[in-house]
Amino acid sequence: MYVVKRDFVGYGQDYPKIEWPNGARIAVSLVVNFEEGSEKTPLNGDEYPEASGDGFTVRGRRRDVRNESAFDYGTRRGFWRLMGIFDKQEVKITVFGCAMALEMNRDAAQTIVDAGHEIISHGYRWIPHYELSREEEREHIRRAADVIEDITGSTCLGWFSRNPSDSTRELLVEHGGFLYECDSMADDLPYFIDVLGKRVLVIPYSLELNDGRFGRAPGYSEPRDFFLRLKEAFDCLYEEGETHPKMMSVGLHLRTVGRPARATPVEEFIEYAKSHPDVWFARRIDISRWWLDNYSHLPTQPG
Amino acid sequence: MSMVEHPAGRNLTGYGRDYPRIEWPDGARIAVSVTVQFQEGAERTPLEGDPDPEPATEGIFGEPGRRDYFVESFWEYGSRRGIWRILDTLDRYGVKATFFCCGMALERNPQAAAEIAARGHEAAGHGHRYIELHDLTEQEEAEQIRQCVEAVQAAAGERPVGWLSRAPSEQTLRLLLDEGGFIYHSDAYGDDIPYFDLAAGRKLLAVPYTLEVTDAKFWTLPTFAGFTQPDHFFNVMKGTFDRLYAEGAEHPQMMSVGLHPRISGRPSRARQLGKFLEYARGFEGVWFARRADIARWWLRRYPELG
Repeated sequence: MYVVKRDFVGYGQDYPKIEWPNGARIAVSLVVNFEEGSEKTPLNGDEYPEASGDGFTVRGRRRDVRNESAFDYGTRRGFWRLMGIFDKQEVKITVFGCAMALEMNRDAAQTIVDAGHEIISHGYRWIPHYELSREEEREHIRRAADVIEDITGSTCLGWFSRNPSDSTRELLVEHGGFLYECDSMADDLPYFIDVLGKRVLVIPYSLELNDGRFGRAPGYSEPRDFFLRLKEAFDCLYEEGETHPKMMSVGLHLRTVGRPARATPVEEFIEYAKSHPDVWFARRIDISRWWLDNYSHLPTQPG
Repeated sequence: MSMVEHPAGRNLTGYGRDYPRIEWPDGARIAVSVTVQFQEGAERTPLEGDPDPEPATEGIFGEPGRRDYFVESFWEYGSRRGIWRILDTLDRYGVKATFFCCGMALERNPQAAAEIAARGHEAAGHGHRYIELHDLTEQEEAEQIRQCVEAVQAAAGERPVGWLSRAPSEQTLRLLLDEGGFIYHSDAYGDDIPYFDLAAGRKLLAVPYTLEVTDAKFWTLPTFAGFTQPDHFFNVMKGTFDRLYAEGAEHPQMMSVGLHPRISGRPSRARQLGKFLEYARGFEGVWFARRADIARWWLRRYPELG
């Protein structure tokens, strides 16, 4: 049986001096999570409603009609506002898409594809995978990949779990077709791990540079806090990138930064990053392909 | 955990790609709805037979099963002092607001209750007690609505036409339609501009509210983020206004601001509202509107939209 391994060393002291396309110092991966409608609610057959939100969620075995409506805002309004910003700023992003949410909003899903953004799987539903039995999880992964394939017309190449289970990595390899997964916050660069004798590319993500902190305490108290956090991280990685180019992940949610006041720090950050030379706004698939083409010789790490 | 197909009962697409280009009176680019939730006196306390004290507080929390006199006192401040500060700020800028009123709060402070309508604000329904409606039986919930309607009628001289719940149940919309007389509800967070909600085949206009542009973010529970400085509230109001005003050049927009007497009525926070009203007043094409005015405009102009 596969056991998820841990690795406290990684690249260690001799951090790899990699190159990005056109000599970029930093690869910026903007990620939009498309989850609304697939979260927990008794309407979807769950015992309890989704607990995350803007601070006013309710407890108990019942629908949280108010929080559901706040989630609805994400796909109804937030999505279109954010797509407008990415168009205007001419940046391409990665969408972590929950298949059920995309299925309920095919017009939005098509818009993502038409705009040249990437969609990878964020599960069939926005629920912790550790709550699924192994059989259920296998079925969720299969169905999630099928829906993405149906929407994009090509194989689903990437994966990010809401919360992975003991089996997620193994089941992703068993399913096959994935070029990379993102269930790690453990580095600033991609790395390879071994899963049952197969080499798996990990493109790390971030819950620090993530608008989820508008909900969780301690978090972003006001919109500008998010810009300041993104700017500080960018400045650090850009500085390091002079000798050791780096990657930066930014996590966004439709119901959160799709709101008027919170969309602004996202746009301001894109403008700030674009004001620097040698910045590569990249989809995760672009980073993956570049990594596989140029850095396949880097060692496989235990996990 | 079962696989499920598309759920009924939610609308996750809304206006979608073709966002409607609506018009407000006098060609305004943005309708700004200031709401004041008058709840003080209707909140939980064992004195009223509730098992526990009110969980929303200024930062210290009561223990289950007994009255907490400091928590009660935080709330009393809102009705004794805070509401007058807010009323006076609104007067200073000539802004008419919507007061979502708990029936029991009106009964506990007849002086303030009378002043809401007297100063030209809208008195709308917010439950008799300030409690979550989803904890009640259907009959109890209907009773909360009826008692609130009566209290608003008594205080303001006319029945409320709008409604906001502390937290709605699955039945709230239908019960509002059963009660009758309501032209809109605000248990709606799904858009920036109004839209129609359906309950048992009947339509009720949703004039959306916000969980973000509200001073309640000063009083979030400890696991949630919130405002830590007074001007965070101003910054969120300004940030929301700026983006919606810009969008409003093409697609006129609507903005909600939520206030609570016990929160924004306190001295360190009280001036944020005035700062925002001063700022927003400096622009052309801003319609400060009570929700009933927005609803009536919408029902007249866009009865088939959304």
